[in-house]
Amino acid sequence: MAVTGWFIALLAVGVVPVIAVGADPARSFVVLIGWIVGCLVLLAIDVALAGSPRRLSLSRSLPDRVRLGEDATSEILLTNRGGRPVRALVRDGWQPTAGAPFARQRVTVPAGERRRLVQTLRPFRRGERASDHITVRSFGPFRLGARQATIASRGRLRVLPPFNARKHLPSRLARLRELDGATSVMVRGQGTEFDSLRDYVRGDDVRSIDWRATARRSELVVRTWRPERDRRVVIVVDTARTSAARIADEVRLDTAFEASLLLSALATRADDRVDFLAVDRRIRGRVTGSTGADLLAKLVDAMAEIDPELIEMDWDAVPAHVRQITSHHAFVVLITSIETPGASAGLLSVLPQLTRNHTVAVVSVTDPDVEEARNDRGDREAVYRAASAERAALDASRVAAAVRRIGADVVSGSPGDLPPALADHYLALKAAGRL
Amino acid sequence: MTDTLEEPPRNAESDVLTPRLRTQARRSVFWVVLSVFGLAVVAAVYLLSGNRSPGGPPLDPTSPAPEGAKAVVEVLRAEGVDVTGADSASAASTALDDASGASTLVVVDNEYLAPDRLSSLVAGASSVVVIDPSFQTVRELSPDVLIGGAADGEPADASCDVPAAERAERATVGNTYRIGGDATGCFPVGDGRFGVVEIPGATPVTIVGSSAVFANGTIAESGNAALALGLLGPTDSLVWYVPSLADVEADAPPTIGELTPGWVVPSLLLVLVVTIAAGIWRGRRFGPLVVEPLPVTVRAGETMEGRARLYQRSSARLRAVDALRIGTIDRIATRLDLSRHADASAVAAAAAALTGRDIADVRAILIDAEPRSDADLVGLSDSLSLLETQIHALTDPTGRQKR
Repeated sequence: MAVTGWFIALLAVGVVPVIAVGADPARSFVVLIGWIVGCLVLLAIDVALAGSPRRLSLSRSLPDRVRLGEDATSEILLTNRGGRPVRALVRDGWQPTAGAPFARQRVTVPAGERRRLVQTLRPFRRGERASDHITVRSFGPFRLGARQATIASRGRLRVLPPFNARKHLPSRLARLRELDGATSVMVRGQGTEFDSLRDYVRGDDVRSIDWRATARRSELVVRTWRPERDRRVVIVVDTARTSAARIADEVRLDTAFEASLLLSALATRADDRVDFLAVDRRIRGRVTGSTGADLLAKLVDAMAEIDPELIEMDWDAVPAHVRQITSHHAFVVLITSIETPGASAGLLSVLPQLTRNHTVAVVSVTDPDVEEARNDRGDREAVYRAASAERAALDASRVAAAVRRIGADVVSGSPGDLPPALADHYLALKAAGRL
Repeated sequence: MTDTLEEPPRNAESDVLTPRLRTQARRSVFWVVLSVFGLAVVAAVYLLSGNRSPGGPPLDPTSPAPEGAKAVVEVLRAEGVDVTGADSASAASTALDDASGASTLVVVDNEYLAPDRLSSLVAGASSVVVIDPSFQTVRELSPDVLIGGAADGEPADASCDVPAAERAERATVGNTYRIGGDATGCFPVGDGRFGVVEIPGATPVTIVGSSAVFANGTIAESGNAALALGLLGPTDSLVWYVPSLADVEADAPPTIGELTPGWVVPSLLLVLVVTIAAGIWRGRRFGPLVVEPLPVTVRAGETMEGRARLYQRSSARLRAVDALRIGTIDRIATRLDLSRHADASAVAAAAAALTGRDIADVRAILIDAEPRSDADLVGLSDSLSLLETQIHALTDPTGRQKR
């Protein structure tokens, strides 16, 4: 049951006959009561004549997944199984961040027919969005009243991380191809693999000349190298307390996901195997043993549901998690935050265990606000803020120095710069054969 | 967009979450029964606790409140006196006419009493007791009696030969009256003022200046009870007249209610109904609320801001300036390609040598100066920035001197 604005207007119009009847209070009262009763009778008739929303059957069609920032089209098929047409206003009960348009949809479904409602959803938060019910308000022929019913109809839409950093992918892939088949300009490490022999052309590094082959063929022959393959990349994302911090309109965890996605896309093209772990005190997400397009699909799926938790990170368990994935040498990427020596004590205590067997990079998002505050010396408050920012930067640099002393690399950058910075670090390691 | 239906759609009735009216009624039966029961209990308690709640008019014969007069009325009834309550002059005169034999009229003076109608009432009774009459009422009753002002509320001795007063001996005195002519005064309070006055005549009228003599709360004090019973008891019937709204005469000037046209009140009622209906219209929720758990996010800069405020509030100037210095020295050392282990003095010396400034000056900026006020702090911070800018200007990114 619901009433409409027309019913209110009809009631209010009753003031005209009440005044027209005029001076006699008794007759005015009679008119008043008569009017109200008349309105109620009309309302009852209208509601009784409205098509029953209970006789509607609903079916949805909806994409399973949508990338954050893109539109999804939701369709609802309304079938009227009742004997009267249903003139209805329909509300789909999406959660607010599913980005459903606020306006309700108007539809008329004649008896025994079917109509389609199309709605564009633009979700503005990662994760799984749900709509558990659809509410239909069916108006009577006079539009005075309506019947209303809420009908269970389950809709689920998984909103995947946007992977905005994919714009950096083509340039990094080009750099990767340059590595391939190039003569090694570096001192040959154990990591670069022998690929083939070819004739010397000008510009090749003389150190690459294979003298034995040259002696056999009486022409200068160089060895070519290709980047090592089938290395393991283990990405560990910290989803605990510090990942909930919002930096430049992006939660730290989202930046971590962007960086992981870019690195994974790059590494899987370079024929390395990527494993992904999201941990705090327990494993929140895990993708292992996938390659190629399948890997990225699985990654975004796993990431979609992970939100930061306000608990302390359990670093002690991380070496065991990594050991479970691989016992061989791997490139372990720890995406976390390094802020103060106190807060990073857990990380620093387990790093030696990881650096003993693996190449480790500690990746941290830095806050561009700190840099900005450091340079703003306008007035007294700004100077104190600059001092505080300087202190924060000093703390972070002390932790970074400690991490480097243990033998891991530190990659840091603002939210926009971090994903390409991590990709560049990976390429540099690959070129150096350190993976 | 219209499709024909190929397959019969499955029955969706069980998916409807909104309960039917019938179901809703069945579910709410318990609460309806409970509230009806509660109302019944309240009504029963109300009925059992006496039909009138305290708060009727003062000296109301049915009121058990301290201000009421139920006590004396009940005692008189028990003694066989026929007590009739009246709330208007016409009711009182009807009661007097109906009474068989001698009857006493009690008049409680209040703002509704019309003094000019009192004389006709007085003529119909065999004796009259007027409680706490006002100036106008007194003038109407007898020209010999004048208002004497309020006494101090203490009981006074009877000191007169009115039988009821004599038996009472002492009684509470409220308002007092001065007398002349053949009126008799009792309970004097000095300089010719009396608490009770009896005016003889065809119908003797007794004026009692204090309502406390009859009120439930105070009737037991000193001789009040004896005085009240003595004044009211002698006749077979008693009419207790408390003037009320019913006394307001019809020919009074028209009230606002009478001046407004007849449609105003119904229109206002209609506005009220429309308002309630509009509330229902706007308040009807379009389906249940949708909940969404949102993740917590924290602004990252909060710790930095907090620390800045702490520095400022505790005026930790030296600490603040040292933080700035460490940063600046670090950057200068990097810029000048000094060893990572170079100490601050070495950096100061190198900076002074490069910029050509006095070494003592540069040392003061980088190491020695202690800010004594916030102005000093801002000044030092500016000097640090200036030094850094100079060094930046004089070197290229590799740390070599330009030129």
